[in-house]
This record gives sequence, structure tokens and C-alpha cells, in this order.
Amino acid sequence: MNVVSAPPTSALASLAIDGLRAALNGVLLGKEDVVELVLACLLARGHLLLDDLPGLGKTTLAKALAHAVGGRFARIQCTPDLLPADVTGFNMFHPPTQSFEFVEGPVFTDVLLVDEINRATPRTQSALFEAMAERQVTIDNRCRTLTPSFFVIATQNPVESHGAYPLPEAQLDRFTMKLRIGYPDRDHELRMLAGEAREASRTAVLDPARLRSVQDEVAHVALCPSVREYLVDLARASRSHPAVTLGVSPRGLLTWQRAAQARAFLAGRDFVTPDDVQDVARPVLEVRLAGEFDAPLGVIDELLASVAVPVFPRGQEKRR
Amino acid sequence: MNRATLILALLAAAVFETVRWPASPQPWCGAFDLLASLALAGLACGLRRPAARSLVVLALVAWPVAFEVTCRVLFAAGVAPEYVLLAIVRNLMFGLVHEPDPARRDDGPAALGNGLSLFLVVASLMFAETLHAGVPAAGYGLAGLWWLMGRSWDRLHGRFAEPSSRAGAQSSRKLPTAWRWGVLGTAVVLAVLAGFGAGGSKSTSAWAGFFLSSGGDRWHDSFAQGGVRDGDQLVGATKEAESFGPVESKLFMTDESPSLYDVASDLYGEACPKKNKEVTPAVGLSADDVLITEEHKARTQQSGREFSVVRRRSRPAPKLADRPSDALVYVQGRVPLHLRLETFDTFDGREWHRETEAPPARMFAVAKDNTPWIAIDRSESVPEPPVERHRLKVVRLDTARIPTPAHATAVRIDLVDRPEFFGWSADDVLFMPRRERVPALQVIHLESQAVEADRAFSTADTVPDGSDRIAQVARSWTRGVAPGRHVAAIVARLKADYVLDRDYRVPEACEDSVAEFLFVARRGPDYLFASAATRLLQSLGVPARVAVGLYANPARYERQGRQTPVFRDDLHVWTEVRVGRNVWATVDATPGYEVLPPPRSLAQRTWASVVGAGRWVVDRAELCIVLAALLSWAVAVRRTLLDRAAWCAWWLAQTLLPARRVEFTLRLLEWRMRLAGRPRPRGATFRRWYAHAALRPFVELATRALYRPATSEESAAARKVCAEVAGDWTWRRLAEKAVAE
Repeated sequence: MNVVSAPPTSALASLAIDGLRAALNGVLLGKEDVVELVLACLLARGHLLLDDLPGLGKTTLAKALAHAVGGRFARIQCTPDLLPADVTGFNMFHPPTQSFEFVEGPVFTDVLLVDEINRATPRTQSALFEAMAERQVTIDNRCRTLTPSFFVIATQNPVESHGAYPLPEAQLDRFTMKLRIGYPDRDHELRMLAGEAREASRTAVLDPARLRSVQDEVAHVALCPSVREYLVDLARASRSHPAVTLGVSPRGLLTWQRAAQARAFLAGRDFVTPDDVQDVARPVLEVRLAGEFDAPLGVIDELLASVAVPVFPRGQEKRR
Repeated sequence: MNRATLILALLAAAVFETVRWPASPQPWCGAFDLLASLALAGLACGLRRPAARSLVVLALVAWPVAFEVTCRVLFAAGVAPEYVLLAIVRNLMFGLVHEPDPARRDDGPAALGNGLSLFLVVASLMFAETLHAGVPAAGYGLAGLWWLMGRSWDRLHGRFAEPSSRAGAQSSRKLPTAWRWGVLGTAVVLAVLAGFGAGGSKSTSAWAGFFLSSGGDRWHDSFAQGGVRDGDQLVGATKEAESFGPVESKLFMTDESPSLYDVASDLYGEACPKKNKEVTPAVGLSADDVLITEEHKARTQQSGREFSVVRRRSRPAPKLADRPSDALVYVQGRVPLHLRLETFDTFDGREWHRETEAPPARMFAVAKDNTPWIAIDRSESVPEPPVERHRLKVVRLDTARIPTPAHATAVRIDLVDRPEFFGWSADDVLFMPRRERVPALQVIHLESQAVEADRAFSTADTVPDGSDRIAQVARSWTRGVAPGRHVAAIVARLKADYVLDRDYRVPEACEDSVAEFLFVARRGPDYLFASAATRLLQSLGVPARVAVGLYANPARYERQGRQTPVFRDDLHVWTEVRVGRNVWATVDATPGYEVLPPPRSLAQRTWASVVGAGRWVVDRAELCIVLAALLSWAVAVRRTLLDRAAWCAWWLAQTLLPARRVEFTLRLLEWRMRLAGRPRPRGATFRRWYAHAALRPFVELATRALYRPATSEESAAARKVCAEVAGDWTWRRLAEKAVAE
């Protein structure tokens, strides 16, 4: 029996999302849940931090996504001697014209892959603050706007601490999600050895304009007041949790809401449910919560278990 | 932390209830008030909308007043206004103490609720008259200590805000504007009240009628315990001595009328008895005990004062009205109580006489609990039952005899520590020699033992020949009865077969009124019952006599004053039987009159209640078996019964409110999951918890109905899905299927 009406997403958006899914699942076997979260991050206009061991496909996934969404692609391989000007660009004297000309850095792109971001010095890491938060950079007192579809995929290796600079909380708060890919299971490793995993295709599934329109559509996914209250309750609970010294900021709360909207959109709904909020809670909170704990996921699960899920309408505002 | 504050509030309420319980005229009043308040508080806790919650809290605050008015109007039962005010504080505490927002549980209304709980405990303990309230108060103290430790632990555990964010933290702790105005207003009112209080009695008297607990004037509250001017209790002088009434105080010891005491005695020594003149013994009071109001007031006789010609009309000073009482005596202590004033042992057929003289009792002063008592020693001690105390407040009694229980062992009047103030009459009654009457408005403490009549026995040398009809009747009534139960058999027979008729009079020509009562009329007033019982027992050889005195009727017990008034109507005649060489026990054969049983220990009471319950069950064995079978069946199928009841409620609700059908169905599902022992955790979404494939259509429907704005699921398909879930997914099926992910 089918009581529920058809999903509200437009056909074009649906096709585009299916194409993205196929492209990413083709290069990363057996990680459909990770791919869904990556797509949610993309549609929420957020930036993604991939944090995992070497060789698990972080860069492959980033490159595949960069190529699939189309537009310009740039890559920065972070090293300790990387300078901020290497990221943002610089003014260079041009003798024929006797003037300074601006040489754009890699941030002037649609998709930026920042590989091993924790190997760059904090000074260089900070060069990305303004670009990620406001999609603009200021060089020599001149503000230069980035493309509206500017999207950062950063990777980092959590185990090699020598010569690495951990990202400060202010930098982490600019990322929407922190994802771990994890090892594939046995069957998928066998399939990979059999050559079923494809190389990252150079063919774009989307273009920046279409991506932008889909992102606009995601921003209009509805939240009823009780779900909004649920989000706020969770955020406040994160601040009062005894093990957490830094809870979810208001900016983080907005990011969480956008991620939940994207998740609902990917599920074919035009409204957000508490399930969507919980689905994106782990990657969204893991990048933000700081405190005296070894396993942040355990704390996040505690938070989710401690706040009551809104089920029954309270008053009539639910129906408005 | 919220749980801790709730526990504190409940303990504070327990302290209040422990204090209020003895003062409630009807225990059910307090119980109903508490249950209704808890129900309203639960409703307030369940609401999240501030407006709705505020309304319920207002109703909660108004409830004690409404309930008190209802009780007074409909049942003439009420409590002192102080308790109503404290009930309002309790309900306000209930309304505020639960804060749904975890981030605001340490400040704002919840903090105010914590403060109110402390106030409630302290204020309740001020009114406590027994030590029982100490138990929950100690619990409150321990819980409060635990709560404080918890708070301190949180702060010591590295939760101090950083200096940069401290300003923000402080701003979040500010009370809302409405609360600030409320606190300010309350402070102003309290300051004004404190000002009036500090202004002394003149200041508060000016507001008589506006303050609670006022009385004794044009406006008074019959349930008041005290307050401005003089409440009823004060007029009755059961609390304070400043007003007129029977209370143990030196205030009445400086009366100009003939009294026990004489101020002059202290100054000049005791007066020598004059010849040919009755002398009243007196006790000297120290100068400190003389009322200040009787001291000499300084007056100025010098000139130089102004004389004004601009004057206003002086208001007549309000006159305090007397609140007269018709009671002869007030009794504090266990009742029913027989207080004898005269005894007779010989009956001539028409009149009772005193022929034998009781052995004199030796009286001497002893100290008990650091107070002087006069012991009454009749050269025979009775080990059981334990001694108990009564307080007699004599209002008016035109005799020098002191009403006493059958086996009084000691007497005390404040400051009177000399045995010559008391005497023992020939008919076994305590009296005050060389006085015309017992001093009015004086409190007499009595110690006595409620000796049971079971010990009465027949003495062989006094058994009459038994040739008269009365003796034959007595023997027939006690045939086959153990000797120790003869008294009980006679009393039971008289109470069962004879009718109390206060208007019946024995014909004047009758020669033997007892025979007339026993064989002809079979009805009569209490003195005929007492005479018949005495004669019957005497005919069996049991030493018995008739006692005349006062009966403290438990039906007249005043819970408010914790005393039993004795009126003229309570003059009573009964029987006393001798149970020792010189120990007498009360026996009352009049229907409707009971004899005070000996005080029982807690174990005896528990055993008696167990035996009573057992007898009740045995007497109704068939009914109890049926009830037990029904109860067992109901317990066995309780979940199915609750399931069907929930389905009925669902059907009614969704019929009346079809727009909320999906919500009601989801509620039914949740209830059944609880019955199945798998309640949905608060942090689990119902989509995850009800993940069974067969439930998927309903879950999709509910998801849209609850979270999609402007959705109205009124289709026939929706009705069908809801009906299927309500009909098919019983608690048993939910228990069997693994529905959760």
C-alpha cells in the first residue's frame, strides 16, 4: 500500500543526484553511506574534511567528486613550507606595464582539494578561513570574490603527528562534516582487486550553475517548529554536557540544519524529520565538539539519547 | 539536576503534609488536595508552551483557596489560613520546580522553586507540634546536601566559564523582565508586612479584618489558630494565656475572686486560720509572676501641657467580645473517658446509698518530669496497663470534687505541690478540701490506669443465696461462661437485649426499679442500665458499685483544639467493679457508651489490625474468594485489558477528532509498546523504533503528518492504515515481533 505521495525533488535534480551517486560509488566500493554524507555536505554548501588513514581512498573520493561536479578544479598538496600566498595568490610586478598584476592562487576555483591539510603551518591554514567562511579572499586590502560554488575537500592523516599541525577549533568550525571512510569489507576488496573499481572519471555530471540551483532547492526544504526545537535542544545539551568543553556554536547549528535539509532532500522529501537530524549528527558534531573524551562518537550518541525526539505535537503550532 | 530538585520539592511537600495532617479536620481533605495539586503539577510539567504552562501554574496556585472555600461551604471543614497559604507556596513550588529546558535548570523559575521548597520546610516546621515532621525534614536536609554537593562538583569539575565568555554567561542568568517585576513586587509587599509587624500590636490591630487569622472581633475565622487580635483558639485560650479561657498560666492566679493563690502571701506570709471562719489554702507567687499590667503606672502631676481646641472625634475603642462556652470541662487525652464524681454501693430497690466507707488514700508529693505531682497511694499497685495522662480544663463545676478516672494514681495543678490541697472522700473520689468548688479555668493533670474489668472475680463469701429473680437471671446469663468473662457477658446481654430510652421513667409505685427494668419495661435511661448491671454483678458475688460522673464522648472530639468538651448532657451513670483489693474498673452497660481500653503498643495494634482483617476475610469468605479470583485473572490479563481499554480510548478520540487520527494511532502504538515491555527510548525516532516492514506504511504516514507543515491526512487510505495498526498491532504482536532496528 502506498499512502505517501511521490518525492518532491525535481526530475532534473533527481537525475543529477543519481549521477553523482553513481560516479562516487563507482570509485569507492561499498561506502554508500559515506557517499550519501558527502553528497549531503555538497548540497548543504558546506566544506568537507576527510580524516582517515593513508590509502583508504580519501584523495580518490575527493578527486572523483571534484570532477563530477564540473567546473574548475585545483589541488593543494600541503607541506610545512607552503605559504599563504601559495593558497590565495599574490600581486607580482609586471615590468612591461610597470604595474602589479594579481596572480590567482588555487582558491580561485570551483572545487579545491586540500590534501593533508594538517601538514601546512597554522599561518597557511588560516589563509583558508576567509575563503571557506565567506567565499572571498582579501589580498593587499583588496577583496576578491570566489565562485559561488566554491567547495573545499580537505584530507588529513590522524596517525602521523610528526611535522603535522592540528587544525584549530576555529578552522574546524568552517567544515560542515568530518568523515571517516574506513576499510572496505572483504567482498568489496575482492571486487576492487578484480578491477571493478573505476578510475575517477573526468566527465562532469553537473556544472556549477546546476549545482547552485540544486543547492537552492535544498535550502527550501521545510523544517517544522518541533524539529527546529529539537535541533536547538541538542545544541544546548552539547554545551552543558559534562565531558564537552566546546559545544555546538550558532554557526555550527545553522550548518547542522542545512546538512539535515540536504539529507532530507537526498531521501526524496521536502521536509526534515528528526531522523535526518540524527543521521548527520555524527559527522557534523565530530568536527566541532571538543573536550575531555577519547571517543567523540560515544559522547554524540549520549547526546542523541538524552534529548527527547519530538513526536507528538505540542500545541497547534505543529499544524500551522 | 532536575530530578534532584523534584525530589527536594516532594520532600518539602512531605514535611508540610506531616505538619498539616493532624490539623486537618478530615484527613481525606488533605489527601484530596495533595492529589489534585500533584495532578495539576504533572499537567504543568507535561506542557512546553509557556502560555499554557503559566495558566496551569496559575490554576495550581489558586487551587488551595478554591478547595478550602468549597470544603468550608459544603462540608463545614477547613484548616487554618496559615496552612492554606503554605499550600499555595507548595503548589507554586510544584509549578516552578520543573524546568523543561535543561540549560535553564540552575536559574530562573526552577531556582525560585528550590528557594520555595526551603521556605516551605522552614515555615512548616514552625507550625509543627510533633516530632514526626523531623523525619521528612531530615530527608530534605540530606537531599539538599547531596544536591549542593552535586552543584559544587559540577563547578569543580572544570566547568568554570572562560573569562571571555563569562559576561555572556552572566547575561543568560538574568531573570526575565516579568520575573524581575514579580520579585520586586513581592519584596515590596513583604517589606510592608514586615513594617506592620515591627509596628507592634497597635500597627497590626489597625488592620484587623485584613490580616488572616483575625478573630474575637467583628470579623473572625473559626478555623484560625491565632493572629491579629485574638482568634477563636486564643479566646478559648488553648494556645495563649493572654485572653480569657482555661489554660495553664499564672495569669489566672492573680484573680480577685477567691482563688488558690494570693499575691499577698508572698509578701506577708500565709494567713493564719481564723476561728469559726472557712480558710482557703493559697500559694504565694513570686513578684516576677505578677502581671505587668497590674503594676503601678507612673503619672505626671505637673502643669505645662497644651490644650488644643482643634480636635477630631475620637473613635470608640473596639470591645472584645466574649466567646462563651457551655462546656463544663474540657478533656485532653484519650477518650472515651468516664470521670466519676460520686459512687454508691447499696441499693434498696428505689435509691442507691453509700454504706461502706472506702479505705483512705495516702497522698504525698513526688517529682515527675521535673514537675511536682501529688501521688494517690491506695496501698496496692497495678503493674498493667501503663499509666496515661489526661488534662482536665474545668470551666465551671459547682463542686469541690475533681472528676477522675476509675483508677487515678496522681494529680497535678501547676505550682500546687502540697498534698493538703487534695483529699480522698469516703466514696472514693478525689476532692479539694475546704473549698466550695474546683477553681474555674484551671488545668488539672491526671494520671490513671485504664484497668480492664476482666480481672473482676466473684468472692465466695459474698455470694448471695440467689433466691431472687435478679440472681437467677444473672446465673442464666453467665451459664457456661468462664468466671473471668462474667462481667463481659452481663454487659453484652444488657446492651443487646435492652433499649436506651432517656425519656422512660419507672412508675412511682414500683418497689424494685431494677426488676421493673429487667423484666417489664426492658428499656430505660443510663442509670437503669447501670443499676441493673451493678445488681446483676453483685448477685453473682462480684463487688460492684454505681458511679455518677461525666462522660467524655469521643463524638464530641474537637480536632482543632485536640480536646473533648463535656457538657451538661454528658452527665452519666455507670458501673464500677472491683478488680483488686482496692482497685476499681469501669464497666458501662449502656448501649452506645464505650469504656476506654488500655493503651496498646505498636505491636499490639498491628496484631489487632491483622486479626481484624483476618476476621473480616473469614466472615466474607465467599466474597473474598470471588474477589481474589477476579483479581488474579485481572492481574494475569492486565496487559490485554489495558490494551483493549486503550483501543476504546483511541476509537473514541479518533471518532471525535478525525484530524488527529494519525497522532492518536501513534499514541496507541507507543502505549502498546510500553505494555509489551519495549518502550521507545526518548532519543529514538519512531521511524527507527517501528522499523518492521508491515508498519512501514503507517510510519510514512505518521512522518508526513507530524513533520510536514500544512499536511492533512484525511484520505480513506490513511483511515485504513490507522485502523489496521490499531486493530492488528496489539501489545502481544508487538512483543513477539522484533520491530526495532
